[in-house]
Amino acid sequence: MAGHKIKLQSSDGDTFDVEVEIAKQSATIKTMLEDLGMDEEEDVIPLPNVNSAILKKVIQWATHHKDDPPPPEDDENREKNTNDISSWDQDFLKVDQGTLFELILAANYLDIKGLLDVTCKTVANMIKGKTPEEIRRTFNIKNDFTPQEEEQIKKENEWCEEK
Amino acid sequence: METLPNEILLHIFSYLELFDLLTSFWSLNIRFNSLVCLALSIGDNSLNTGLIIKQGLSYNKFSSLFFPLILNSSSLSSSIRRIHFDETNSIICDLIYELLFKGRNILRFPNLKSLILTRCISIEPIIQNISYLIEYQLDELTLTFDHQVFIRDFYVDEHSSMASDTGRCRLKSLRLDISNEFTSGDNHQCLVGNSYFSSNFIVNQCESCCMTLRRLFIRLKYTFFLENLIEHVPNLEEILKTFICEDAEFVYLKRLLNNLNYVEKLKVHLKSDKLIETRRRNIWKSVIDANFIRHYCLPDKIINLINFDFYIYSQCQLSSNDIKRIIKSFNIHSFFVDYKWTNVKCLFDPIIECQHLFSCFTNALQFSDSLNNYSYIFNWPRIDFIWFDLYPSLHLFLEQFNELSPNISCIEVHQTRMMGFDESDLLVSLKILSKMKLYKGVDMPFRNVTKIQFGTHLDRMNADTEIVPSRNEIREKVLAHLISMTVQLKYLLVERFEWLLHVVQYASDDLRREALSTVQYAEFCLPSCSTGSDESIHIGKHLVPFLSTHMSHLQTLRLWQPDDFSWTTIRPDFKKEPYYSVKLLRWLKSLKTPGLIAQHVAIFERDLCRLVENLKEFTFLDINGEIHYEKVESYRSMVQARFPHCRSDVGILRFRLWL
Repeated sequence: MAGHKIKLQSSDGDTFDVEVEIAKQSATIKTMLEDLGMDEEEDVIPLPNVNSAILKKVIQWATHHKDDPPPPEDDENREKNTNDISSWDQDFLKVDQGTLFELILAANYLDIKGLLDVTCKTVANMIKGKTPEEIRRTFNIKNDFTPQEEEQIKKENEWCEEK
Repeated sequence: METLPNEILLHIFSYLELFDLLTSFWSLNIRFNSLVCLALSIGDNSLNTGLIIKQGLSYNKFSSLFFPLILNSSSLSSSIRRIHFDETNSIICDLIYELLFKGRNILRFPNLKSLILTRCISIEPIIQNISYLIEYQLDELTLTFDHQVFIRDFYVDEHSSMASDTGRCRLKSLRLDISNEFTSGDNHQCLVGNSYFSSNFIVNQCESCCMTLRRLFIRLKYTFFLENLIEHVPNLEEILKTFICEDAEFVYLKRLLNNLNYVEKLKVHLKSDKLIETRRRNIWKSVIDANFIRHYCLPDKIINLINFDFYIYSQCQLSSNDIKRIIKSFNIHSFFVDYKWTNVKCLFDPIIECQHLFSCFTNALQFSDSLNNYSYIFNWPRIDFIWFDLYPSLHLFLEQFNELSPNISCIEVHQTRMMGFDESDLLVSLKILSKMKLYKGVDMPFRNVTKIQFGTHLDRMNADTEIVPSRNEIREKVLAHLISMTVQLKYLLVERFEWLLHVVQYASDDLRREALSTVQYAEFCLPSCSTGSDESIHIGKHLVPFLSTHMSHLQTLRLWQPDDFSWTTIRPDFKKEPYYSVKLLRWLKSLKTPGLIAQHVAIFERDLCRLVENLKEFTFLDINGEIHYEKVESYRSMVQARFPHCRSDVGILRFRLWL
């Protein structure tokens, strides 16, 4: 029903009124609504893995994309492309790294394929062209190799110095 | 990033080329190393994962960086379960895979289970290793051959050696595509004439040993090739597709089907494609309906068959009532009703007078072999004079496009060598494209199209024309629309470079801005810089400015030229002066003199430098032309001096440069 709303509750207790059709972009919420028969406006859907700030962003994204066709399934014939992020999404995802990763986790938990794809593409674009050291600095990745493992890797890598 | 779970990191990795993944993440820490190995080890056919070697990969990077890394790291090499060499749009693969197969390097992947070679040109190295791979390692082998391979490389001796030292195989799945619709069946004639292919390759591989083979996918034109094969694969569950031409082959097909009546899956793809009328083609003239399918395309006795699909096209005249009758015949035929195989589609292409009848029993979008498996759309008119227009007109596919578009990644628009494009088809297509653009939005129907091939004859023979390049407004507009409606066009093959030039010059209103900027692979025929009109010899000078303006991300360029490799002319304009032919002949003779050779070397050097300077992501140039042998050494020295760290190959007929 157009305009019919439900309430989503974030991990920190805030509730958001959201149109059902917008909320149903989340397969998780769609399943809850269908399986539990939660279609009354008073019903509150708790989302314990998503905080208010992130839930607000997710709702903003889902509202903007409410009329999009369903994203296609992955298959061999479709080349994975990271250059097709719309300008609205690019602006929407100009956020700090922590927020971007929280959005990814939320999209994964809520099972919103479109949002998961676009956020992962954004991270992939951040990775492209970077050396391991740049990746280590950009994403603060710790080195946990033992000295022996380090030595072994050095040995393997010494073959592959660019000519 | 380390807070993200593995499943999400793998999802992010799936957007990275394997070599970006290795460059950025290998040797960061234990978790990322194991994730890289995990990403490499996924051998999923539907997602085309594993070690994928395709267009855009730099040969220098692969040979100096990734290949030694993979081979020297046991964890990386043992992770690889699936290798796919896709030569369709790149001949860099050709060299890369020589690197893997020569010296038996391919045997250094202990867990390799699936090997896919798509249209690879040089097959000798694999022949030397395949016996071992089939016997001890591979569960799945896919070979897709090219006409060129058969003509150049498929000699009896090599095949004998490939097959002779093998006694067993452990393959569960074999896919073999040797149907080459571009040719008049030369490769099959090789098979028939010498019968070495069937006797050596398949039978010896399979003889008394293919108890494991469950899935067999074959595309070929002559059914009798199958005869020996099926006797040796008693556990076959699926057999897919073959082509058929004449009445005798229907009888033969029936015999095969009756011998194969234990299979669970069967797909039949039949076409009648010869213009020449013979007395042996009466079966094709009968009505192709439910009775026809039951009688000619299925075994008499059906034992295990669960999945059945067919696609048939034939020359005929059909009215709308005929189409209704054909579709209805499946709904009243007791056999098809019992099996619930009544969902069929019948299309009639009025331009080429061709019937397309196909089943939708297992997949609602199953339109044809080409569409379903390769996601291509074709219009494929007659090839030279002896072949019929058997492929549907472009407009017929465009009419179906919205229904089919999720599956379509490639559009090929074919034309005849002598007669060009079908003007009426182009006109109707243009109307449909204009409507699609107007009413369906700019990008949606073509959202998954990554390749456009416009024109059929990408070869030196076609490049060799002295005709002044003529404009064709409808062709320009159709090409502009097709290009503009894509959103991720990567491969663009246009039969003549000037057609594309004309699109930009004259149909720019129909061409979306930046529409060509995503192109990574381009292929054209270029006119001669020496012979031809004053106008045509100057077309090549537009090449680099055009590419750098419109295709700045280009990685690979393949050109077909009738003579020299350079694309800027040094010929003076003769302007149709008196004694034009004499002057031209005198000038052509002078091309072998040291003075003009030096001039050509200088102009080619300038062409190459401009190309490489202007295209920052460029990795590979492949020019098919013809030069005097006196020039080879001069060109070779120039390239080595100018590009000292790059691999190059200069011959009389071909020039290649890997950056």
